[in-house]
Amino acid sequence: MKTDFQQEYIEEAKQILKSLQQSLLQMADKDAGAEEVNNVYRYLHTLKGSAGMFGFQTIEQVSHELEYVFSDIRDGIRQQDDFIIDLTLHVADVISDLLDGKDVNKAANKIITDLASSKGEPTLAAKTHGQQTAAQVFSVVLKPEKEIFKRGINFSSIIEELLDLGTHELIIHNEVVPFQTQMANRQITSWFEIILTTTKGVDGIKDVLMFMSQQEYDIIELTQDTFSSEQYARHISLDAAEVEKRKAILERFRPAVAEDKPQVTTAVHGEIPDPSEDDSITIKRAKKNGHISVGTQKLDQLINIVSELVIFRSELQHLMGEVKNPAIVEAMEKLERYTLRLRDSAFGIRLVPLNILNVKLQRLIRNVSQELGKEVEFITEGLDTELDRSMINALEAPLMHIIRNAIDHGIETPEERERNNKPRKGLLKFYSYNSGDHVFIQLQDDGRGIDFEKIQKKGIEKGLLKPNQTYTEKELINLMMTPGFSTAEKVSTVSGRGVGMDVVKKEIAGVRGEIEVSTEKGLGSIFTLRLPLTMTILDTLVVNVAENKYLIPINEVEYCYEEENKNLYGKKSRQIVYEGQLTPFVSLREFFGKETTNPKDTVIVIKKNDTRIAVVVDGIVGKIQTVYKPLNELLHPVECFSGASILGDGTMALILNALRLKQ
Amino acid sequence: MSKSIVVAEDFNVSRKIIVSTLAKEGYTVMEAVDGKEAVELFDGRKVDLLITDFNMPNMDGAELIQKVRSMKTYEYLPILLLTTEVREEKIQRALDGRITAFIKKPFETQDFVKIVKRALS
Repeated sequence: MKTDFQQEYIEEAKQILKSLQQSLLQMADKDAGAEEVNNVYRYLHTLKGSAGMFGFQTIEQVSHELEYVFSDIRDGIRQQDDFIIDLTLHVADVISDLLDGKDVNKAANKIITDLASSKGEPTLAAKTHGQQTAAQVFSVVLKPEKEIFKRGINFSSIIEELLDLGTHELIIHNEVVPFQTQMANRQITSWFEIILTTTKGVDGIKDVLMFMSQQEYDIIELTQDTFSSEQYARHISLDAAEVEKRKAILERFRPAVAEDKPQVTTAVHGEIPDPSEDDSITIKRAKKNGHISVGTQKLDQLINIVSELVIFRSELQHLMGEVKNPAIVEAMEKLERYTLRLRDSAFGIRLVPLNILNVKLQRLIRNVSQELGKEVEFITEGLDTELDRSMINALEAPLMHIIRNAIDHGIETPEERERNNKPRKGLLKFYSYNSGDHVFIQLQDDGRGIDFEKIQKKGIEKGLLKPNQTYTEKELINLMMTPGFSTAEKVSTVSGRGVGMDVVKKEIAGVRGEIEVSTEKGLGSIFTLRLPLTMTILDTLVVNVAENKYLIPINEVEYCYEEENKNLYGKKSRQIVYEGQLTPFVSLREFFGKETTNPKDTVIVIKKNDTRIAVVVDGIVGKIQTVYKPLNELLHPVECFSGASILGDGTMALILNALRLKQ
Repeated sequence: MSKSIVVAEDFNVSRKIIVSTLAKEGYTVMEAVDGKEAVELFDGRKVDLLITDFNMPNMDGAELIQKVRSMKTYEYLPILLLTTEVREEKIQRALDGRITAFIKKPFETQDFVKIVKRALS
């Protein structure tokens, strides 16, 4: 059974492992500077420090051994090399497995012995504890530094406690300032000699002197000869009279010592107090930037309720119709405002920075580039961009796939790069930023770019393209993302494991995102992912066509206007002139096979992914906020709709994917 | 009146262990996750002991100790420094004459309590 503390340790340790890996990867980048080394060191010793307390001895030992290595690197005693970084990354994996309760003790022990033998230092030594002894006579010499109180040590209580240990004689030397005054002023100018009979032994005395440094005290076991011994002379050179005086004291104490039988005293210090006596108050300070972990289920529930609330508000507004009562209108406006704010904060909870993917990506890049013998420099920018947690989860696999592809197909071998006058190290850039309601993630490499000839050849081979026909680059990129297409000549373990770009595209579309590729032969490629901030709530324009209502995401709408029917349909081609450019339009009535009978129609210009298209509808009904619901799989082939939503009056409306109307 | 102890430690689990150990002993404990937070606790209130980690983000143990010591109220406050530092002497030099003692991590609860009791005596 794991205790609560153990469980908590495991969770916290895992986070530390993540940070550790990140720092290691940064170290591997060189030029990382002493700070990263120090961070690695700090993480290791935090791991070690607590592992022991929770019974994770193996973790304690492993991190202990590594800690030495990194402290040596930090202090310049040892050179940092890839071997150490790889080994430590490996250790991080092993520790992670250990935390999961997997049996990796063998691997762990090997690391320990390897490391220990490499530096020839003993591993953690067991502590030894003191023993109780019979009554003895000691001379305790105290030479505290003048400012001992400044260390937070109450010297007067030390003297009192020493005297409490048994029969004693206190001799104050160099008492220029009276003892009491010294204590009151908290400045010690004297030094002290205490002749003491005690059953507590040297350890008992040392306990009291726990906080004094070795140079500040000496404990000498007394015999008649001791006073003239060398050890004593180190502190005090006594004349004959002084020696006699002390011998007399000793004689006085002797009988007591002789009578004292060896006593067995139980260790009282270690007693564990009864928890029932616990009446203390623990003042817990609220942590700034504190975190609460909440199960995603609870969060989903919250989001669901908020989504329902948003719909309910629309419904309420719909029911109210044309209410003119200013009080109600005002109340409705307030309701709208707070619902929006509630929605924003609820969704804000789910937002997490992309940074959480960083370690995974970096390790992937490291592994893949090593495997393929390529050198890759990974640059990130905008990792603090926030996205819905479920979105990030959904993105992980596609991003990894794109990166794998970029390293496998895009970036050339160091030799090839040198031949082409490129730096040996390939560059892989990851940047992300917010723009409007969307988050963009771009992955750029400076490799050889996409080989369109190869794609075309392959496409023809596979019967996906017709020979002797020229295709645009866009068409070929689309081909690249169709199922069953892979240009890798040999199936490497890295890319081409059955999933291709088509899966990437599908997964990104699954979160209502889009992927775009641009490439330049010999210079590299850029993969751009465009993702909605939230996956479920959408501001839409409600339009009607015949008796039906459709929704258009408002962020896609660029311009709306009314147009005479004859100006639209009078010409042969279905095009309008917008901002001096010919823009194709689709009449939804025509599209759905209805007659166009209205004298005037409404034109809605939509811009998405730098492509413009106009949609002609009967009219605009209004603007509403809706909850996006994906379509059933059976409806997936109907690409002109991206989803559906429930309107305020409880009816269903489909969300238009305007760009697909054209194709 | 029970003794008040400030515990500054960035590693949550360690801090919780320390706090619960001390609470069982009947002390009043105030927690801080780093030096910066800890310093704020030294606002003139009664504090009988400071237990602090050395390596902490935002403000490390050395800076915290320096700040606390410079306040008249806490001039003679006992301070225990938690450390796993391999090169202990190095810290010792850095903090010479300003702290009461080191507590090496990992520690046995019994030893820990003993040191705390000693520091508060």
